[in-house]
Amino acid sequence: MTVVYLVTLALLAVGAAAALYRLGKGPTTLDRAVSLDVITSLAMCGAGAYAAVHGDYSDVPILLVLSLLGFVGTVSLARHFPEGDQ
Amino acid sequence: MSVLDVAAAVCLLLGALLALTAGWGMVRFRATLDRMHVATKPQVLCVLLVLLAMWLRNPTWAAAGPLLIVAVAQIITVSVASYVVARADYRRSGADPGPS
Repeated sequence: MTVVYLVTLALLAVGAAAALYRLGKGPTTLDRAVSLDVITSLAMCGAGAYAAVHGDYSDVPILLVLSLLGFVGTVSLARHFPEGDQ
Repeated sequence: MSVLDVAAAVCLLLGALLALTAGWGMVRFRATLDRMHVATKPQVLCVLLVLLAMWLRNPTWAAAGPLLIVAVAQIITVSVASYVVARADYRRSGADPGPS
């Protein structure tokens, strides 16, 4: 299970690094909002993988908070996105 | 390792592979709508697979309740967020959103 945990964390880290690249490069604010949402979901996956491997289910509220936090961040960025902005 | 542990490990690895496809799509695709499209599917499926792995490690009804709440919250919030992002990008790029 430890090997599975490490491989999972490595794959999540590669995905997060790719999303981080888009976060720095992304031409519009919407790209950055989407990549921030992806990074939030990958953090959820990492916390869930820790809970699944170690059998420690005390971080399930963290998953809920991260889900709602990513939602609020993305929607507020997209709602207040000025039209015509590049 | 029991059968449930093997299933949980497979779910974890599949979820991590989906997360990798999300990152690859974020780098590879060109338009904002394409990136939004490729980002939302793994966002839902990856988290659902990890939650399924968590439940398979502890398959009781008491563990299933909070995990179901997280799953429903993730499905609803990701779909609504992707809709809002797509609408904002559509309005930004006009009526004909071509490849940018």
